[in-house]
Amino acid sequence: MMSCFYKQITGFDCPGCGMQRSFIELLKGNFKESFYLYPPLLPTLFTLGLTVWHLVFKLKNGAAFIKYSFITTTSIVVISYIIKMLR
Amino acid sequence: MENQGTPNQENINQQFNQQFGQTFGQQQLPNSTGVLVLGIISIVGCFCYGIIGLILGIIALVLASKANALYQQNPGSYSEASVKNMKAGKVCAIIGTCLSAIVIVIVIIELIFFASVFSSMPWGHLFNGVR
Repeated sequence: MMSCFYKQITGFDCPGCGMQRSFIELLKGNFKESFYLYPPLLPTLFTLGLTVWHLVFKLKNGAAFIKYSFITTTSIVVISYIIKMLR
Repeated sequence: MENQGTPNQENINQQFNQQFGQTFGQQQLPNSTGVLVLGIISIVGCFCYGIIGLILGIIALVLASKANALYQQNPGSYSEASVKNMKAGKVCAIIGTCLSAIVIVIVIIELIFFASVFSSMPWGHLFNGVR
């Protein structure tokens, strides 16, 4: 696993820390543990998958869907990071 | 009042493009998919280092502004899907650039804080006492 430069220096988590652990748990099939490790992983994967789907199959309103799912993904990332820091 | 009778060349071009653009087959805006992809990857790249997301977001914004200028010159000659792609990619790139800029500012502030803490500690006394 790639180690986080920011976490090595400061000791705090960065907004992306936990993503690789969560992804490994997801590959093992443990959805619950992957959600607890890093909640925004599934929305991020959904947005990336939606983008690929839209670029391949040319959905009609795909651009708007991608925009809104991107906005929700970023807000989930920020909110979960704030909750993780306050805890 | 005089302009109503004699439409200038740009209006004629726009009407021509709007009427016949669909029948002649519309071009795709250049780099519209590239803007979308770069804008979305910028959020993934913004997390740890912040620098990757900033670079990708700025590239996407520059490409989007170029494509937008081309689109403003003659709208109607480009297909609607690619214009929508470009606009969505622009929004994503703006969000990604802002987030990674915030991350970079926080990282710089913390580095300055830690550097000042470590440099103000009495290292010389500590090591002299140990040795």
